[in-house]
Amino acid sequence: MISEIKSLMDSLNIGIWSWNIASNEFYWDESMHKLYGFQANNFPDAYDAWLNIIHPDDKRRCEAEMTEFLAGKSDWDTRFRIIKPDGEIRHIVGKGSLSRGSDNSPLKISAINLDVSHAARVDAEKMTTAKKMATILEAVAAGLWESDLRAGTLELDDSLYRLYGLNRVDCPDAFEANRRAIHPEDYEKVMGGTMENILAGRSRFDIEFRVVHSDGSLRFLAVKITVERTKDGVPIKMFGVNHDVTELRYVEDQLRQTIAAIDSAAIVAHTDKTGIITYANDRFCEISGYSRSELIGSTHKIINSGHHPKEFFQKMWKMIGSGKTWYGEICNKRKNGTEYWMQTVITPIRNTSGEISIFLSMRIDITAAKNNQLALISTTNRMLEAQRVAQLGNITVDVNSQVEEMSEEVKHIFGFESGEACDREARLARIHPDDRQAYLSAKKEVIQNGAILEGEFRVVHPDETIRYALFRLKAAKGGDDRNIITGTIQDITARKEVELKLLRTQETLTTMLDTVPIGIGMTSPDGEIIGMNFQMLKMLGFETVTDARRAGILSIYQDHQDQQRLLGALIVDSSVKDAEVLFKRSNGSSFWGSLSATKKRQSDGRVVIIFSMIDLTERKRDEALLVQSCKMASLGEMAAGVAHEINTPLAIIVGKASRVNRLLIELKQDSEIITKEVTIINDTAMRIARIVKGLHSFARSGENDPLLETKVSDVMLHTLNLCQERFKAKNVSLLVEEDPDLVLHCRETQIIQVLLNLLNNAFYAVQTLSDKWIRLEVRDAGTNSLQFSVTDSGHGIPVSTAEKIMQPFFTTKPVGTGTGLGLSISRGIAEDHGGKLFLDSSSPNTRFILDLPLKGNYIKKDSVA
Amino acid sequence: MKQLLGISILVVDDEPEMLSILCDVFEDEGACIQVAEGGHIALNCLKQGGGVDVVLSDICMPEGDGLELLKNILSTIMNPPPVILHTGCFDIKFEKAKELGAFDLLVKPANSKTLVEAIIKAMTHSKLKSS
Repeated sequence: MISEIKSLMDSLNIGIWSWNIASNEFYWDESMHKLYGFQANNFPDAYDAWLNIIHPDDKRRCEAEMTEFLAGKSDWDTRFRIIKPDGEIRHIVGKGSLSRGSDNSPLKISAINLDVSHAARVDAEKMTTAKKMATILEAVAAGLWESDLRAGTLELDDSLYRLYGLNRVDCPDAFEANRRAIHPEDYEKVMGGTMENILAGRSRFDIEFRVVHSDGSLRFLAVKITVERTKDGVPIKMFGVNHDVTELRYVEDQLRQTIAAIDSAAIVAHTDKTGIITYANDRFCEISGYSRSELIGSTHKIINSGHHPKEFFQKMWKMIGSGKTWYGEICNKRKNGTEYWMQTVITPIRNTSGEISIFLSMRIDITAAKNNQLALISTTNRMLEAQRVAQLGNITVDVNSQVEEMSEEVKHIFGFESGEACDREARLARIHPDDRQAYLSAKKEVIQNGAILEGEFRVVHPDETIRYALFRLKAAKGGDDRNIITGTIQDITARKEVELKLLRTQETLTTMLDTVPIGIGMTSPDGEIIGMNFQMLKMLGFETVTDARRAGILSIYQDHQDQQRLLGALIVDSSVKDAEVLFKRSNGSSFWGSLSATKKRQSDGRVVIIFSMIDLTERKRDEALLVQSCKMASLGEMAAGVAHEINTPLAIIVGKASRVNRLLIELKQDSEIITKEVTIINDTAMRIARIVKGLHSFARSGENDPLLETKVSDVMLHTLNLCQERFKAKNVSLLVEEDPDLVLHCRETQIIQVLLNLLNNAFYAVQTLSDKWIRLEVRDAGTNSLQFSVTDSGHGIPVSTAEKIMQPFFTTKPVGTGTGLGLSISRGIAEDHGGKLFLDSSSPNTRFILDLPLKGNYIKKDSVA
Repeated sequence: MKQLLGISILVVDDEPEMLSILCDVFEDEGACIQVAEGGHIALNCLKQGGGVDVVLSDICMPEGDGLELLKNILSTIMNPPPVILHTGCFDIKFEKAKELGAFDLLVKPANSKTLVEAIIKAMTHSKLKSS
């Protein structure tokens, strides 16, 4: 019987759950699982898990209600929505009660969940039947006992022991078993009640009591007692039939609550087979405006609005008459003549013999929605057609009731068929997962802060195509001062696709523009900067196009006239090619660039100037280097050519000098003065020879020479040979500090070139000073490196100049004096040797340091063809 | 002490002053000197079998330059004497001179000590070779 009840409960969509507070056992029956969309025993039976299934909008309320309920402040009587694991939303009515112990502490919660999503499916009549059936359950015998009142004996059978949750072996004494099993609060009731009934002369009576099992669980037992008496009424024997009514109590309780739930939620009526109303609940009376007595006994014709044709009702009767459930929307008329719309479900209920005995109808008021819908239909038809063409739909949602109206096009945009449900959840499920959060928060803004939502969200159709929809929604007041959200949804996929394509093309172009090593820019004809690519910004030293705009086009020329010249040339010709222009960077430094420009009329009619720029610094430097090395090479050739012409006379001078010395000895003319003078002649001649040799070595570029072990003292000597005379002549004192043991791995002529360059710069710098000195030092700097330093009596270099001194063509010397290449070439040489050349800013005097590795580790310079 | 006693040196140079200085230097050390003002004359001298022990020759000379002389000596003279090149140019390096078969290369201006030592070195080497 229990199982029958269970299956009945199942068919009613009623789930039962309980929570034994003492043992913290949570029980969900199968129907609960089904109701919540879980496999049996697959639901994590815990409170939090349950909460998580509840619709987010209802969750907080449910939690609060449950807390109240558990605190014993109220019964649990609520309605909420759940989201099943498959995303389906169901409406649930929950009812529950709390049973308490003697100390008023909560013992157990029993509750039902009723799915009222299709409330009409609930069969009230079946429930009445169930109740009847339940009473039959009482006949199910469970435990028996017998007591001989005269002998004072009591015997319990095994079933009763089982019902008591006891074992005969543990507790052979029957009285003791009673004491142990019967709830202490009920013990007196059972014993006293029995005695009372016997004394009252009754021979049959019922007592209900609780037993406590050793695990703490409570069971309700009902005992039917029969008393055997003598003829004169003296009781001699007593028989008891105990049965467990726990489930029954439970089910009864829940059923009661269920009926109440349905009654409170829907408009319920019963009719007999002929359609005469036999039952009408309060809500039916309320909405129809008729009293119950007026309704009962009449047919539904009393509320017929005449809105529906005869065939509509014939169809309905045909369906329910065949035992099927009918769903539909019916327009009814109130007693006062006004109409109202009902969403209706009518279910035929069969009696025990299987014949249809009554029809149960359950209805929900949908008037508000229906009225709006009807009023709109005629004007809407035209509008809908327009919307279809524009792929634009409109939607209005009542914030409180969630009642929605939307045009067909909205459904289309979301990819629903005309007949398909397209409620809030269904729509949300089709919004692209990546956009969903943004959509929800935007919508929240609309509801809470009255913001206007205008945003694009992607919609994913069932066939997985992605559509772009433009939402324009705002909060407004509807009729009856209702809060509504209203607006339009437009399918903008076509437009979006074009946009995206354009964007991609643009991105590609931008990437291309930013990666070409050519500066590209665009200005208006009057020189307003429209854009510059990354390369041009980099060349000109701007961070952003905005910076460039702020600085203006004239700022990029060293000579402002160049812009005018360019514009002038563009008037004559539509383009300018490869003009060499000296450009100015944002930091004030300048560089040579090749400028090409074209005048272009754009599709919108605007004329723009597109210009490109190639940095010629490298090329200019290479050109200058070439000139320089040509000069050097010819100097070298000349030095080699004149060497013989000079060296032979020098050899004669040297020879003659030594001849003079020998003659003095032969002639015994020992003149110290003459000897000394001859020695000077000899030394001077030798020095000329060294200069010629040095000049020759220096003139060679040495670029392709191998790096050789070279004595640092030789490097120093060869360098000094080439300059010390000049220094002496100009009264510049040259101090040299060297370490005779140092050996360097280098191209000697190149190092000489660097040192000579540093010394010459120093020489130039100190000329105007009163204190003129230059110090050339070399020392082992540790970590396998060696440092040459050239210090002069000058007092350092201004920071602004210091930044630029290593740049090619930078010179502080008057025009025609220096090439501006010395330091940049020197630095190149230092780097080729794996070393570095830098200005020692920590020195109070101007000091350059050439830091070179002792061995190898140099970068081989690519031989230039 | 005369360091070059009994040694016969052929000195080749197109510059008369240079020849005179070199003669002075070597004769002071007791050497026997023959002079030639160009490569061609020098080669003839050797071909006539003048018993020359060492040749000291300039390179850049209008009448037969030193390198050509060196080549001819090595190719035409039996038991050629060591040849020391003596130059004011930078266009030939010591290694190159050696490769061509010269015994040594002296760069002008070389002082008398360097000159004499170069001759002694050549003689020592030449004696070791013949013995």
